[in-house]
Amino acid sequence: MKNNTEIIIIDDVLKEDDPLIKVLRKKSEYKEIKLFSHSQDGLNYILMNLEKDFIVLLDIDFPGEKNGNQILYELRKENKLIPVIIWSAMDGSTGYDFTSFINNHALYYVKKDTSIKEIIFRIDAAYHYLQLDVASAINRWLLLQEDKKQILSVDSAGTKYSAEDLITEIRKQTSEGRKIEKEIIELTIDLLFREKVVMND
Amino acid sequence: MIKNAIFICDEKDPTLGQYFKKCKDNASALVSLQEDIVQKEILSANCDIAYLDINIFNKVENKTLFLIFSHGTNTSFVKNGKKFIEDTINCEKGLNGGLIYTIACSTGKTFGKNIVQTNASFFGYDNEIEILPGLEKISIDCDIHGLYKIIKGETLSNARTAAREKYNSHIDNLPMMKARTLRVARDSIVVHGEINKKFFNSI
Repeated sequence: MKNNTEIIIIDDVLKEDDPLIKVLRKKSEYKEIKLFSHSQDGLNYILMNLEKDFIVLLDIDFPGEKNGNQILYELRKENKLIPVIIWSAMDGSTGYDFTSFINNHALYYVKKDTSIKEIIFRIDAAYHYLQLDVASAINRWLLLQEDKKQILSVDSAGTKYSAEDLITEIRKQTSEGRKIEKEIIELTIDLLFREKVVMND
Repeated sequence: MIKNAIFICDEKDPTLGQYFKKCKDNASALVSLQEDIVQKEILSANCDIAYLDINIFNKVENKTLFLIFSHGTNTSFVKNGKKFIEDTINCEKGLNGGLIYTIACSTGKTFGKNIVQTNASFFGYDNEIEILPGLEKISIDCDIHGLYKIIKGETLSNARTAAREKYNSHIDNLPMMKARTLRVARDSIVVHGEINKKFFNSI
């Protein structure tokens, strides 16, 4: 089982019996594969379960609903860490402007006629990214803390941040969240160079 | 050798006043290791540019060790956001040939560099330092370790090395989320001026 990661597919055309869903459920090691036909439902599920690890496969076009662009924008207001793969029939040749997806940190773009093998390769790459991303690792560590009220940071204005507060700061990548991330990276490098941490083969 | 020590402490600061006071009290005990040092204290009520100008900097006759426990910026020491030691103009006479030892954030960046022009020397931090609740004792231990070495007769350079080692001894035994703050402090220690000079006789 690949940790507790859930794959969230937000697509109004795909059905539960689609080969991609079947293959992902049968062969991959992800905890769950969830399909949402309505874009808002998919977003709501993610926002209500932010303690979980997600990889999102997000379609662009949802007639009469919020499109993929809007969904990604709203997701990023709360969480900048979740890897989102844009999954669409549209590409540059259709004249679609992908700028906002890039600016809202979409991780990959996959065309809908791409092979299942390639899609799974991208999802696995997103999983790898999630495991190596320092902010995501700090987020997971904070979630494991029993005492989430403990003060773990104080900024220059004297504002105190509990573990609970820092989870939000890290997810939203605020200046405090990024400061913590930077200091953890610098400390890790320091410990490695002073040989206080041993890297195993 | 230095024969006078003036402690300037903003013990009434709403966030770190108690911390500053504990540092000052511990520092005072360390300075007492040198038996013939005359100590004087300036507390929050008199942390004021005019008061310090008239009563301290214009009256200092001998080389003095200034120990400052307050908030700071790149260019000044501050109380409630108001500067009380601003630049070398305030303290040129008083600092001449003396030493400032401080735990104030960031003052090593510009202030500490500038006072070298008055033949003074500086031991402090050139960045913002975070004091985490629960780590006060460790932070004080690290904050005044350099002073301990200076009082024992070490050079500023050796005192800085010893202070860094003191930080490491705690960094290596704390969870990373807490140790990160000490790593930042350790790497922010700066010395300016006569860094290879001994300001006190060895004891």
